[in-house]
Amino acid sequence: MNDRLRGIELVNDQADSMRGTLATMREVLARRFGVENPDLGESTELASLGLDSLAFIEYSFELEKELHVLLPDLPRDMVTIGDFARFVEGEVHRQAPGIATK
Amino acid sequence: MSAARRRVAITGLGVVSAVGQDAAGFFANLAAGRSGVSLLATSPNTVAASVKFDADAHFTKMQLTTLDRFAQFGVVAAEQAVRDAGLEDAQLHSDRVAVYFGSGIGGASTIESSYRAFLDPNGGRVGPMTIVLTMANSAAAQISLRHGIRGPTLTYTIACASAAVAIGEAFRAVRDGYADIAIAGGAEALLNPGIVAGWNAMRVLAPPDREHPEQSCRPFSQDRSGLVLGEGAGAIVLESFEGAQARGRTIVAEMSGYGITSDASHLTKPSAAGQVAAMRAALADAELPPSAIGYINAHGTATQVGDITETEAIREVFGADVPPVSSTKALHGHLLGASGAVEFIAALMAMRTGTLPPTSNYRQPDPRCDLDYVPNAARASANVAAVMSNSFAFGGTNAVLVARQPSGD
Repeated sequence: MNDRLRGIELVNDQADSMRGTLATMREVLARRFGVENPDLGESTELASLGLDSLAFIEYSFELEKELHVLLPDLPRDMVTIGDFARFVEGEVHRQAPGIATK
Repeated sequence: MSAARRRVAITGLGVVSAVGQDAAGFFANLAAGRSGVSLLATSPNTVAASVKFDADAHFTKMQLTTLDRFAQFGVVAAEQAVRDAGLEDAQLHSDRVAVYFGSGIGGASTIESSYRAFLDPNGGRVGPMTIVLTMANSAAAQISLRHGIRGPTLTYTIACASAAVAIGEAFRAVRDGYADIAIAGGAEALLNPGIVAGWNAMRVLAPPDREHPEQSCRPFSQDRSGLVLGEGAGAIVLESFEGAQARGRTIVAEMSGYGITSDASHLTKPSAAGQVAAMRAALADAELPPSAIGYINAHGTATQVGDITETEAIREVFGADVPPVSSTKALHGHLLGASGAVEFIAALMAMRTGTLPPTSNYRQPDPRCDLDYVPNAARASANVAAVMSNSFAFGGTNAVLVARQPSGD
């Protein structure tokens, strides 16, 4: 496989991984908090979910369990589900064993 | 503050218990002698009166993230009482409306699950809601939040007298003009393995009756062997008599007396003198002679010493003319911080219906417990003009509530 194809595969893997993370985030929202919105996507604003600050911490704890990742310091400037998903995704890759952490 | 005391009406009742999840169903089961006691699946060799409670029928998942089991019970009982009183939330959005609630421990199941997580060698996680679920005032706070109640939101933690004290103090607040409406009662849910182990270690729990576990709690019977734990909540709506009449509401009863004393003698062993003083104080507060009381719902936990002491105390207050006395704990168990509320409601329902609930599982007379305990079968009694409910707590607090038939004068 040449370098160009390998690059495309990596992009596809990342897209799959992001879709999986979003699916997990949706699933936890429904199961733990009863938030079931079929239109929920990357552009959905976090403020629209009805989670207060404590519930949001609880949400992040549940995601830690589901995704085997630690989320100790949540960025304060996240606005959308997509922002949060990208942060989670970044931490998953950064903390995953055997993957370059730079 | 005006010197004139206001009359206080009881206009709504709510119950969550092992023998019924509304006041009418609760009382019907007590009168029929249906026991809520069974073997407890989560603790070895233990019986308890646990509530088959469908939390999802009452709350959204989002709401449940902030409600320990005891607070769920409290909120549901309070909601029933508010609706029974015919009150809409808009009428409660006032700083003249109060919540007075009791609980012995508070969020016991959250305490236990959080410690389990904290001590888990595999690295469990203590959740961000731990503190707000655990705090003893969370039931009262949730009731205030749910109905938009803006006056005092208070919590009393006085072991087995918690709810009785909450109701008594709410009664004083309405009578003395500090509040126009109060939701009062108590909630408890502590049938968790760790807490039950603590109760077992005290050697005060009744062992399961081998053939009939549902008959393990036998107050005032010579073969009584200890108390049986229960869980649940009770709530009543208290309001100024004038306010209730102006609203055109059916008045369940007139709340008329509250007596509270402390034994100051022993942490757990009851004292007849303290109980006598509390009953007399409640009667004096109600301006009623002992002969006016037509039914007493006893504390009656079915411990050897407790039942004898209470019998002696009642005998001393009422003399030769003791009214029928029963302990409904035989059926609903000891609801601890909620017991004073559900048992007062049992007494109110007895007065309302003219039916005295029995002391179930009464098998053998005890010469030291020589009152009329309404053994094993409910009894019709047309002349219940007033009722008394006793709650005696670890720590030595004795709280007694008295209510009478509502009269229009």
